[in-house]
Amino acid sequence: MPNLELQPSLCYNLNMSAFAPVGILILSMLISCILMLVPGIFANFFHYASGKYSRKKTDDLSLFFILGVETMVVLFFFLIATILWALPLTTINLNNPIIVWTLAGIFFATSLVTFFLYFRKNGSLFISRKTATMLINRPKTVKNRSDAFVFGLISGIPELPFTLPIYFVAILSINSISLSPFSCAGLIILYAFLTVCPLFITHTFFRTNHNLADFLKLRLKNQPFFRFFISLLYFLLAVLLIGSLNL
Amino acid sequence: MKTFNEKSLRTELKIDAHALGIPAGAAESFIDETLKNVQKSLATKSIITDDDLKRLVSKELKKYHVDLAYVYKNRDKII
Repeated sequence: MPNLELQPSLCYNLNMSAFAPVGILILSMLISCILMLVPGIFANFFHYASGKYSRKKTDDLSLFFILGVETMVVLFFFLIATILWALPLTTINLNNPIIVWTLAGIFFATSLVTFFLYFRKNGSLFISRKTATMLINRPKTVKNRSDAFVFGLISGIPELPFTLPIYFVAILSINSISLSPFSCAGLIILYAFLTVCPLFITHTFFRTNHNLADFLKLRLKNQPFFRFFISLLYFLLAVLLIGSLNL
Repeated sequence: MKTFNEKSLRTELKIDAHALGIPAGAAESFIDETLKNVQKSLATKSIITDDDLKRLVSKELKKYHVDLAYVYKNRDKII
C-alpha cells in the first residue's frame, strides 16, 4: 500500500520536470515574437521599398530582408549551441542552481529595464538616436537582394541585450528536453521561424490596404500594453526558471 | 549645421506619397504647394532646427493629406 501512495507523486514530479524546459522554451519564443525593433525596421523598409519600387520587387526585397533576419537568429543559436556543447562546459545546464539563479537575475533585471527603458517618452525605442537614424535611413541604400539580406542580418543587432539571454535559455531548455540532434535542429529552425512571424504579419498588414501611418498609430496606441506585456513575460520567465529548481 | 535641401525633401515626400498609394499627379501638386509655403516661411529665417522644419512641413502637409503628414512627422518613432 505505501508503494501505491508514492507512485502518483513520483509521476507528478517527473512530468513537471519535463514541463519546465518546455514552458521556458515557449515563453522565450513568445518574447522573441513580441519584441518591437525588427518589425519596426521592417515596416520602415517595406514602406520605403514600396514607394520606390514595383510591388514585385518590394516583395522580393522583403523576402530577402526576412531571410537575413532568420539567418542571423539561426547563426546566433548555433553559435551559442557550439559554445555550450562543443566546449567542455557540461556544468552549464538548467539543473545547475548557480546558472539558473544567474539567468533568473538577468531576466528580473531585463523585466525592470523593459518596463522603464524599452520605450522612450516620445514613443521611440530604447536604442541610441544615432543608431536609429542610421537604421531609418538605411533603406535608401537598399537596391538589390544582397543589400536587403545584409540589412536583415544587421537589423536585430541593437536588440541583442534583450534577445541574447533568451536565445541562451532557449538553447539550455532544448538541451534539457534531451532530444536527438535532428530534433534539436528542428526546434531551432522552428524558433527562428517564429521569430520572423511578426515580419510576415507586418507584410500581410501592409498588403491589406494599410499603410505606415496605420502601423505607427497602432504601435503608439498599444505601447503601454506592450511595455507591460514584454516586462511581464520576462518576469514570468525568471519565475519559471526559479520554479524549475524546485520541481 | 546642414543646408536646407529642397530636392532631397521633395524626393523623400514623393516616395512616401507613392508608398501611401497617393496618385502621382495629386502628390506632385500638393508637395509643390507644401514646399512653396515652407519656402515662404523660411524666407524670414536664417536658421531653423530639424524639429522645427519637420513641424513646419508636417503642418503644411496636413492641409492636403493627413497620413502623409503623420508619417513625415512620426517616422523616427518607428524604432
